[in-house]
Amino acid sequence: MSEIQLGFSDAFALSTLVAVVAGVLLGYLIGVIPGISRPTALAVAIPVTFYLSPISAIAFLVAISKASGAGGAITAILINTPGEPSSAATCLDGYPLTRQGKGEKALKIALYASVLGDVFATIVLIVIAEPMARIALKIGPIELVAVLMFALTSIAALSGPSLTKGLISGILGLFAATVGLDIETATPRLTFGFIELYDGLPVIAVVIGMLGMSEMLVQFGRHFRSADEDAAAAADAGSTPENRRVTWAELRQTTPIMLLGSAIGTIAGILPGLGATVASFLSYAAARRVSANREQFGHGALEGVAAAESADNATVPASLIPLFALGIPASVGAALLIGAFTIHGITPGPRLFVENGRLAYGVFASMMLTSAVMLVLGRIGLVGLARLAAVPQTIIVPSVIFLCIAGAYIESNSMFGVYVMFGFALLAYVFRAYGFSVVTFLIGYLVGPMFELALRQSIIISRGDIGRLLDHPVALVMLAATVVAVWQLGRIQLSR
Amino acid sequence: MKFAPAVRTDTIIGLVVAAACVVILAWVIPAETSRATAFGMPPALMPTVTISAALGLAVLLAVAGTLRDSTEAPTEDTLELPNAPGLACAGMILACILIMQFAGLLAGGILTVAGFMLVMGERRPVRILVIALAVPGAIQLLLGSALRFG
Repeated sequence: MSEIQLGFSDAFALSTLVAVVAGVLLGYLIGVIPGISRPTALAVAIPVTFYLSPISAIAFLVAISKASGAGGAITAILINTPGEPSSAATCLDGYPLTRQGKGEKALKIALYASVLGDVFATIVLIVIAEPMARIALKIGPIELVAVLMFALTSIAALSGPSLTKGLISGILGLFAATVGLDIETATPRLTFGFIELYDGLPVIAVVIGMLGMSEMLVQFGRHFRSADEDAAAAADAGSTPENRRVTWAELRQTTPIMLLGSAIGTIAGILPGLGATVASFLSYAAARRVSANREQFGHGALEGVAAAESADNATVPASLIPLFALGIPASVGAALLIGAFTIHGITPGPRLFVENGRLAYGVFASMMLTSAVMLVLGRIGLVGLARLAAVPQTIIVPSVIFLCIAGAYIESNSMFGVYVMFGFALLAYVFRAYGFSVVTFLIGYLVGPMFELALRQSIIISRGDIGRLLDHPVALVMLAATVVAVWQLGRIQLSR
Repeated sequence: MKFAPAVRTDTIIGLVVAAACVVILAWVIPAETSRATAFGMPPALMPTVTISAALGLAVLLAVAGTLRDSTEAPTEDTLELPNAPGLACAGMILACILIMQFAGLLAGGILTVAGFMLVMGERRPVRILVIALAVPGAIQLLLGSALRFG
């Protein structure tokens, strides 16, 4: 049997199906509850996948990623509070629709748009990832160093208002990745005598600390600054059967907008640093420009909801394209998947199709399956999921704090991981308070080993002669692009 | 605690980061990395290059922070000392770590969840009891072989 057939059969195995369903349910839950973001959920879920097979683990995590985007629309539409930052654009027309008694209609359109965006980008991923990987195999370490520098710079520049702080964060992440045994000499480096650090800082503890635990500390503080009001799903006042149903005419009207949003989301997902939030707002703006009903936007236009949600969900599979093809994460979710791959001894990148083709095709098949499960479970559970928005913070925050502790403990089976987790949670809290990007730090940390290895290989290949760069035009172009990007973005920020 | 209005946060942050980078370059890296070998890249090269780059950017941040808004009225930069909730949170975390270190993860987990719920203002005893037992219990069921509680 070919690898494609084997991969598909792995995707339809019972364990993978259960992982997909569990991931979708958990993703919807995460998306609905404001305060738990997608990266937080992924960070906390990674330890759970230790004991799953690689295909089940990746399918589970990808399902969480995809479904949380769709789930975030529910609270955005019903109570004007986006469950995920990327659902903020959905509030603009979703909440007005609820106030008109058309909340259920808006929820259905959001679901269909999410699934369509997801399927569109997944198909693009399946079609272009392997050809890209074949091209990428021709790329050597020197080109890889240049590409990573460009990717890290783009992410740093787009991660926040300050390019300088973004670059500092990314560089500190690269520094954190140097802790452990030096790969050439096998001597301890920055381990301070701790044997536990010989394999480097525990990945799960760092990720959980910086994303999950720090977010809970922020939520904890926020709880005392604002009145603790239980978020209650808005009554869908004035709802009639016509207002709850999506007609064929409405579907025909919104489908072109969904396709436009899917395309925008896919492109935004591929480019490192842009992310789902930018994609959803870009799509919203584009839809408003092309729509015949542009005066309705902001006052309850179904097209507005469709545009935002299709782009939001398209970014998730699209961000996996550079991950599978080049080993470069285009988003923090994709970066966290590197951690999951690493746990199972797999290196994402162009060699994935050569060394683990069966897994790659299995993941593709499970992603298509996830889209179908999202549609079915989302349609069935629409009303029930909406009630989850009312879970109070006094339950969510302590529960997630314990989940973070348990997750950090699992990795090292000792309290050392917990200490590291709390340490990085504190660092992330300080980062957030002073405008440094946690995402850029984490991406720098997760790609650091790959970057250093490629740099070492580059130095060996070129024998330290920088003139050898002239033999690598792709690397020169990427380095020039990095310099231009820093220059242009620096100018923009200075002019502000 | 508030700093004088003329002090800008980015300047302070830049100087703090720069100072930390200097300490790392001057003491930490030399002490915690082995000497260069006859082949390959020296172990200290990557840490040194990254921290040097961070140092340069931190100095840039400090200078830009000082020069920025020089013709505008300075904004009031505040650095709040830990307030009551912050101190409560820090205290809870320390208590959790101590309890887990000596009494195990399950006991620590129950007390962690219950303690944070109480600190956050939850006063319904049944709810506290149910959640404090359910969450660690569910994790125990899910990952029992992975987590050696106690």
